[in-house]
Amino acid sequence: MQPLPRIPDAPASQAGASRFWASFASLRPLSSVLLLALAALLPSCRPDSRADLILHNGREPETLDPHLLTGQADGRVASALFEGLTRYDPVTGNAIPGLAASWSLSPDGLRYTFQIRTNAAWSDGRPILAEDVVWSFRRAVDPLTGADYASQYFYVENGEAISTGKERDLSKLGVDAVSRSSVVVRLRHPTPFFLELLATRVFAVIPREAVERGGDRWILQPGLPCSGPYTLASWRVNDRIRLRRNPHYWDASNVRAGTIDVLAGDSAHTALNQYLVGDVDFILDKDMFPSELAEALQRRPDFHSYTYLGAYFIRFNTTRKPFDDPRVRKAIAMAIDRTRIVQRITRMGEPPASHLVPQGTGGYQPPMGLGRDPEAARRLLAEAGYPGGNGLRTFEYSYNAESRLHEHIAVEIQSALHDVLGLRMELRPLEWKTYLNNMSRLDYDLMRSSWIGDYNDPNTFLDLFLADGGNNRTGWRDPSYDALIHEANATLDRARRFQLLAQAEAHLLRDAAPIVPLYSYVGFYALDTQRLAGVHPNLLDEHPFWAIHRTRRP
Amino acid sequence: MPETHPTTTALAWRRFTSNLPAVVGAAFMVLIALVLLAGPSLLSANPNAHSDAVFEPPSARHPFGTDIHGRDLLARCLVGARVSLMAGLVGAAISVVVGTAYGMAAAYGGGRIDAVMMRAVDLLYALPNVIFVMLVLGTAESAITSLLRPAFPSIADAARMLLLFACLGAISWLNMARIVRGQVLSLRSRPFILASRQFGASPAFILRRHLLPNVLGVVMAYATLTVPAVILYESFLSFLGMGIRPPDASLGTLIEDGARQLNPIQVRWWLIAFPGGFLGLTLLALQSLGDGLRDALDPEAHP
Amino acid sequence: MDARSILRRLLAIPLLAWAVASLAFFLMRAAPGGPFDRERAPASKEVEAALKARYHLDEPLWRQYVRFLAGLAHADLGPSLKYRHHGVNDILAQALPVSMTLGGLAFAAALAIGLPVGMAGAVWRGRWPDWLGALLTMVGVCIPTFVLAPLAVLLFALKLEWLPVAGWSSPTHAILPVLVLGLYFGARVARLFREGLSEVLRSPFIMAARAKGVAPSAILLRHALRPALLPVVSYAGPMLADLLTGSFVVERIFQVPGTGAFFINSFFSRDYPLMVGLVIVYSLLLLVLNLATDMAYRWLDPRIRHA
Repeated sequence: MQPLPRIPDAPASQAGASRFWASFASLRPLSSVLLLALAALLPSCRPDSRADLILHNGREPETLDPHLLTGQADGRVASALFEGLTRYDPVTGNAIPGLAASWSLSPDGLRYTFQIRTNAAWSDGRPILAEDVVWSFRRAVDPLTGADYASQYFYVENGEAISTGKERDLSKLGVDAVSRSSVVVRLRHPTPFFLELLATRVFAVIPREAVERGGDRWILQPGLPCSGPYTLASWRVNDRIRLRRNPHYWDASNVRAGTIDVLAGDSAHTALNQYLVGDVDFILDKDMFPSELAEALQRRPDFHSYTYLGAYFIRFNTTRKPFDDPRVRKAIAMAIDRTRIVQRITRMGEPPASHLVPQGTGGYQPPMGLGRDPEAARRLLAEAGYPGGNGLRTFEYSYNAESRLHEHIAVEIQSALHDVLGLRMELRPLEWKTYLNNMSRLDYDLMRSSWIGDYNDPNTFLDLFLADGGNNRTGWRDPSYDALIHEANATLDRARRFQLLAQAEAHLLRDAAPIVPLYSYVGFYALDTQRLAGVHPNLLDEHPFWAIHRTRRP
Repeated sequence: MPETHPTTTALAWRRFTSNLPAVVGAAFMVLIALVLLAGPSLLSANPNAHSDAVFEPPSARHPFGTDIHGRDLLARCLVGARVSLMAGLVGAAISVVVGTAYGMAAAYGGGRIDAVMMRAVDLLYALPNVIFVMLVLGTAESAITSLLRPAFPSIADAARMLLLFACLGAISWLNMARIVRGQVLSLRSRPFILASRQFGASPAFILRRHLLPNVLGVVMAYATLTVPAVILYESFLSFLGMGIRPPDASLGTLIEDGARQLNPIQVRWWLIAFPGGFLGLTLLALQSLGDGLRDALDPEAHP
Repeated sequence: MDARSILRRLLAIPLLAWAVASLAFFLMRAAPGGPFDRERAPASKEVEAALKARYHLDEPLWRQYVRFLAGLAHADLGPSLKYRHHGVNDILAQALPVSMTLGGLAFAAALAIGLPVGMAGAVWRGRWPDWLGALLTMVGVCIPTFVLAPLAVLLFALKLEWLPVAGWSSPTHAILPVLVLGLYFGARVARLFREGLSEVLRSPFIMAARAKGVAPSAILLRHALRPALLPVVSYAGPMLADLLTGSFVVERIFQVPGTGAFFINSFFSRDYPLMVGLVIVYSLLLLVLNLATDMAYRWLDPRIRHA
């Protein structure tokens, strides 16, 4: 048996202040240990000097290897570090000469000859040579590199054969150094947008020696030679990347900011607050603007929006009943009210679009798809055997759950389909990887989708739905569509080519409708022109860091 | 009238009714229960009906204002509260029952039993519960859609909801078990327990009659922390696509939606104030009620 | 607890951490999708295969597991599949000190807020200090951090301009996140301490002390305080482990480069090695802290004997 706790016989009067404090003595070791531990850890909170320019880049980049990266956040930083033969014009977003000073194209449109600048140099001062370009291109297309974007090399002779493993010899790639400073690129067929492609990251020139020496961590090597306007000074994951001007960059005199901090963060509200108090000069990522603040932001003088190369659309799983019937797909397409969605939900001035390719892409005029027509929609649904929606099973609309925007749009579509067609659609929010996995396995009925153009040409959207395209993901295949696209891309005459592409797009949207486009994206940014210069709206939403600079001291 | 000694129950009732906050809390909970049961059907507004009145501040027509789809926020708060309270209460109930039983068993069993049981808790606790929830709900999800939905569409939704609640309870009992165990360890060697044991009381009797009443206070206190935790965890699951399915709502998802209004540019205060206030009041009532019940039932309590 | 049982518990810790990590390793693989499922399909099947081969994801699961164990033996948690230039070790080395600083400070704040409030509530149970404390507790319990944090930013950073909005580059940056986390956990501590103390203050030995005429302050501090801390201590072990490994919401809102974000994001992106690495760190912390908790029981209430 345990004894009762001992109770001291202390008279009440003696229990004074001294005892009160003495009783805390037993707690003291604990708190002093805690304090010591904290003092040891506080250095992790270290102050930095302010960079000349602070940019908010949205999510933390996964990689800065220009050949491997897939995310926009990654690409923006990688472009500052590594350049290709062409680069983006900060004003128009079009391709302008980069490492190549000039080029010529053979009359059949198949052979480009690029002259590399005589002053093109790595950040360690060594010259950038034709063989660097050739090595970089071969590395990108080598399947062992694992570059998702290697498909951009399919326009180059043997690019596809190498990437798919049919051709093992990398030197068969249609890229050759014909002299110290000139590179010849042979194309599979005329490719009107090839110079635009060259400005994309997967064509960037990277330092062979460092890559071969460094393995997966090559980008983190101190003193890494860079071909672009900046070098990597430091990288703290999920915090900031510091860039420092590359003194040997061929155009160094036009590189405005000496140091740039590129911040990473997931919270749009935080990014906006940082911009408002001046801790951030410019927000690069449009996901970092809270969509619920759309109208309020648009009323601000520093807020600008512009057309942007992106499309929001719905995919149908055409391998599943009843969506194998084009009448059902078209009925759904005609029941949706796009205007309501852009005016009430997205509210950034997005143009409602029944067409997939955004208006103005490379000078192309997209055809109209299926507009809203409730009467015709009901008629089509009845023709398909589901009058008033009777007999059509409850189906699911899948979307990725992290964004409230997708949910709001889903809820609008759900309500429209119920009101117009009497359909019962359940919403299926999915976590990101499950969403992607279900999409590629064709495990869905309807699915929210979007696509950002890689280059300023309608082909970047229209080749998605080729029968064997890895990004088709609808189960829809149509030889006549493929034939039109291939014919168009082999056509040198621009007007004729666009005509064929428009014919293909019209067939895709009006006859087959494996997808329903909802709206084209807009780009937007907050730019206080009193504070910052060098940012210009453009279709590709490309804002090269070298042109951006502060006009006022903070 | 013959003089009778009041029964324990009557005493407890008397103690409870003389505790003003507890009575107010109980009344409020009854009111909420009634409103939640009857309210949504009494309201003219359909919580999922869209309208052109988007983002309207509170008015006579929409006492709580409207949201991005022009839906009535009052109606949505009521249906949302129903879901959330169910989730919170079911989750907390599971956590109380499982956690208390487990914690008491471990502490009373002592020695090797205690060690094994508590290491199991550590193990489960260290495993990120998002993995667990995702796998359980994800697997069940596909089972429900492929098997249950075609046959019994009405049961499918209820089954999904119940499973969600059960999952929420399953991840919140671990702390309860630890806390109860700590309490029982300390009580186990108290004289009255030791005495009882020496008089031949069975372990079950000691656990039920002596230990349970004495851990009740802390259990209640932790349960009132579990209810909001479960309600808010549900909104996190919604963010992962595993919680309540839109267009349905819960208080958690409404509050999460409303939290986006806390910015320096444009504040639509009603979107956060009403769902948040609703949750706050409910939890306050629940806490007073819990306190009152605990004071009333505790044999050692004195007025 | 005697030295032998402590030693036994200590020895069991790596074993348990290994068990948790193995569980996480296999459960993660059961989740749908993989690290290289992206919005854009890879250029070719060969590219996809090469990517998987580089990280050995094409091998049978047991080989991957053996590989993982071999890495573990060298304290190498492997490469991150999402942050492709960084190893899991690098990421933890950068992020853990940040989260631990924030978490340690928040823990101190939680105790500094929770214990006095809880004590006031128990001592003056049912009277105005109790109600005031209950109100504060309610704020901390009902208002989730994703509401509390933006509110704090609105008030202290944007309106009053006393503190920075977000970031982690000076000690002032730590104040708001520490307060938000501190209030959140402090409220829970207060609630548990109030209950624990009320319970003890009602127990016979305290009554006896009172009857003997011991001063109330002495009763409180000398006799009641320690056993009353039991529920708080039971809760504090896991709480400290949670705090030290970072809070997803608070780190996200205040843009603190700690481990909190990685717990969720590594799962989202199926970054198997990073997730498992975090689980190992977390479970080690938790197991050590739970052992410390159990040791503290003895100190708090000498009557507790571990059979």
